[in-house]
Amino acid sequence: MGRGAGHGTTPPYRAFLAVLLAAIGAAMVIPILMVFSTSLAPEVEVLRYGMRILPTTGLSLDSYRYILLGAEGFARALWVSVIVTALGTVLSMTMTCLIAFPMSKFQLPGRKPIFLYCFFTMLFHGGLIPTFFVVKAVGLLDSIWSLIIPSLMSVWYMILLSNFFGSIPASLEESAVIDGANDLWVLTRIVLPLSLPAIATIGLFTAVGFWNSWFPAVIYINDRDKYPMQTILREMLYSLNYSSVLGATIEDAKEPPSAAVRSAAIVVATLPIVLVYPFLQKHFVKGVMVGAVKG
Amino acid sequence: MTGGRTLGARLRRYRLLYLMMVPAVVYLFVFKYMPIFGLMTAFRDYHPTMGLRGFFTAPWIGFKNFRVFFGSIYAGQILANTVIISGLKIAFIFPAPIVLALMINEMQNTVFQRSIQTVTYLPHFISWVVIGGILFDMLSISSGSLNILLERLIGHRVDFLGNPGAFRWILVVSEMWKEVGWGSIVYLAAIAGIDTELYEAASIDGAGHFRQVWHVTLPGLLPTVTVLFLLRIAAILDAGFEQILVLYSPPVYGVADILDTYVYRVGMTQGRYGVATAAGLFKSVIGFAMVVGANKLVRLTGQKGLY
Repeated sequence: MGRGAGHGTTPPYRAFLAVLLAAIGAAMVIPILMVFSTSLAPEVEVLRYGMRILPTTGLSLDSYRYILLGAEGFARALWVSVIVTALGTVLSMTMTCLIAFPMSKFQLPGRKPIFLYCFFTMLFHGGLIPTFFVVKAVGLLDSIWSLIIPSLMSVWYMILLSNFFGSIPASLEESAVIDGANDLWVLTRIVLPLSLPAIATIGLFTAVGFWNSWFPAVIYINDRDKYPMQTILREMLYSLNYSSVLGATIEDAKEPPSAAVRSAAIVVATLPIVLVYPFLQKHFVKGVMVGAVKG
Repeated sequence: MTGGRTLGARLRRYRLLYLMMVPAVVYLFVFKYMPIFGLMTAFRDYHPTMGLRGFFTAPWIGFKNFRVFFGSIYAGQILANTVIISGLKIAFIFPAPIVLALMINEMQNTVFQRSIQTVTYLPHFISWVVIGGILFDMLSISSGSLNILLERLIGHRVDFLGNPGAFRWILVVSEMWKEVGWGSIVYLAAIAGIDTELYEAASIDGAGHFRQVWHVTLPGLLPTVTVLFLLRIAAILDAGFEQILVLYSPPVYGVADILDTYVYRVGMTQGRYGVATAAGLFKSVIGFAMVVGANKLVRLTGQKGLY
């Protein structure tokens, strides 16, 4: 592993570190792999033997059939999650890019006070209860918009984007302005196309944030039909956590949500992230560093 | 006079840029600033049906809600839990990404380096609900694989998640699992940013590999470590709201109930908004003071600080 060509033998400490790192890596992957295997296992086998690292014999798609064909409203919840993620990401990125562009223009009169106006919200929060009051007062309770609008903008992402926009050579914009282009044209035709790595990174962070979010629905939504999938998943765990004292037996194996069904739900909830992850990873290190270097 | 005209002309020139800011400025006003005004309800007899106007008009009751919160038998326990859980996390989780970054940096095979990075960053993107699910599948007393294993090995099962002695450690370990890789990114970047001439100079002075790590790599990391450490200390009242809300249950409330979960339970499930808002205001004010203080300290160390 740590034996690079031309380096001769690996010093023992380095081999030791390599083994340790491999163990850490395994510790990250194995739990995820176990959930995947469990989701494919027949329920009785799970109760009898617990989870397996690799799928055992007797694979079964029953759990997936169970959650995707209507049980627990999981299919509908999946749809809510897709809508919230898509709408939320598009609206959030639009609003964030629109303000990040003027914020990257240091000569703009009034830029500093507006920046401080935004920045202050990162330092001081109204908190859970007053935010609930506001969401209720503006009439968003029990609407899927309550899952989108209150978390529409991250000032931190705005700062990252405006730093990125600011790093684009001004000469590129100036020539367009001389040709009579207005600022919106400059933003959409010059700045955004040059910022695609940053936009992709922050857009994917935002999407993952919406996809993973479960708490807003707990406080803002009463109608279970409007729950996103992560909140449904949380409900399954919650009932499990509070009934664990009673203990389940093999006879209960038919009773949902069982371990296999839960695992299938977890796989469905996590699969999209694992699928976009390679694209995410390509950019995010650079994206994160843009902020760290200048911030 | 001429100054005014120039300003007018400049405002016209930048009109479109100002218009672009309007949605975000309005959004922040409604969803970030209005809740800050809403904190005044901690001092008022407010009910959600009073709407936004009630933030300013509901009857004034002074510090009654604060007396209820601080006078309750829970206040001390909740504050202690918050600080202890945060403290454990700072002690065990804060150093972990630094060590991981140093270890990854020791590897010479870039394919191996990159695989380890890929695998360790992944859990950061998995939600606490899902991680909670995985933990239940491993630890739950009824069907957790660890418990099935334990029953075979020692003859009985252990209720990990309902055990006050174990619960905080489950919090520490699961958060470390989720964030250690992600946290290492910034340190790996800092290591990459160290001037290679420093290593060469150290090497010429006769420093071996470990002395180079000690005298070049670690001092090179120190500024980043200092800033992140101070900011983490400033966030001491954030002990991990979503994580605890997903994992805890009544048997472990005594060791796991933190300020945020208290605010949620008292406010949202018991409907005692006033007391919950008072506790929330307390948290916001302390948090704000700590960040401002941390930033001052960062500047004292000669760095740029957060703002």
